[in-house]
Amino acid sequence: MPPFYFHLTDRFGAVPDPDPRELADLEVVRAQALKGARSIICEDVRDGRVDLTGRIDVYDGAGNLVLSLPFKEAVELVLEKDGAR
Amino acid sequence: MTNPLTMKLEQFTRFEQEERERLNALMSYPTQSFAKGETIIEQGEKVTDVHLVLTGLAARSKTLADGSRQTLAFLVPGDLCDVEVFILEAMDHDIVAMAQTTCLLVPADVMEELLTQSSNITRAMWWSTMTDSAILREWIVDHGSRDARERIAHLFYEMLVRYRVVGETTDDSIPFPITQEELADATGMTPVHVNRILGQLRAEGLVEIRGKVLTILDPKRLREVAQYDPRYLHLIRTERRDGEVSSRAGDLVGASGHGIVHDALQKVTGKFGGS
Repeated sequence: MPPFYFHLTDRFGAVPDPDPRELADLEVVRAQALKGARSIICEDVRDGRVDLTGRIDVYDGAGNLVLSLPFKEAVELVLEKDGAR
Repeated sequence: MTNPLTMKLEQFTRFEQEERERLNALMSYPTQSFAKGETIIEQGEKVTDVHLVLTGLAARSKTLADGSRQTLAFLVPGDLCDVEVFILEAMDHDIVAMAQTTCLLVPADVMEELLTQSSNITRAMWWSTMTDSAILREWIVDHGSRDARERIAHLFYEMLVRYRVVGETTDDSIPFPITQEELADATGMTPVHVNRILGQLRAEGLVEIRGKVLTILDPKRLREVAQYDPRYLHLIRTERRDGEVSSRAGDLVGASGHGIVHDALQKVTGKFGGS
């Protein structure tokens, strides 16, 4: 399986991923990026402040950007009772 | 080669020369090496030898239905993959090598004999088993009550103490062969989240990871971040330690009320050559 790097950029700055993960395909990559982004958002919620300005950029072994996932695309925000975002 | 199990147990037990020799004699049993990622003992297996980690790093882990893993414990040199495991009909989890790892294979009957012949060794093994359970209890607290930062800080501090106890390190650097994904499996976090926390700890000047080595740059502050209370490791039985054996992790686990009292007692008993 090919290697993928999940680089994180958030309010603390850029945190490069030193350990590539071997994943089957881009679908799995996207699922892992979503899971990662949501886990970080969860931790923020515990502290009472949700910051959705971060993003996860996934690169393949050749250094090509294969996915950029802004945190705000990782969750759906329902702020009104009728479901308006 | 010194037996790392003796190194561990002697921190809390005053062995007679003959007992020490019996423990060290275990080193004549065969060893087996495992590459990183290799399974040392598989779930469902009937274990006939007691595995003692001599070098490297192993982990207890469960594989879930979707193929993902949860790591339940790390085993450093000197740790037994359960002293009484031969009692069980089948292992209920896997033991996996997290680095190039060598295990000593002690036949079950030899271990049984060792446990029935010397009460000092038996008591030391009980202590060892109780401490393993206590580490697991902290793991549960980690998952239930500590936030991500505290959890990782707690694990790093504990690993430093454990590597020190068996003399695998004498300063504040420890072997760190695991990937962020493996650390995520052990802390119930995602690898991306682990990466963020490590980035924070690095930025704060608390830790440094270079190559396969983790250096704790500021143990005192990391201990505060982790709200680390070392009492669960039961290192308090220092009064049992032979005066000739140095306290290898004393500076890391001291400073709590108990530690100070015991260090003082140690000094007094050492001074007057008491038992």
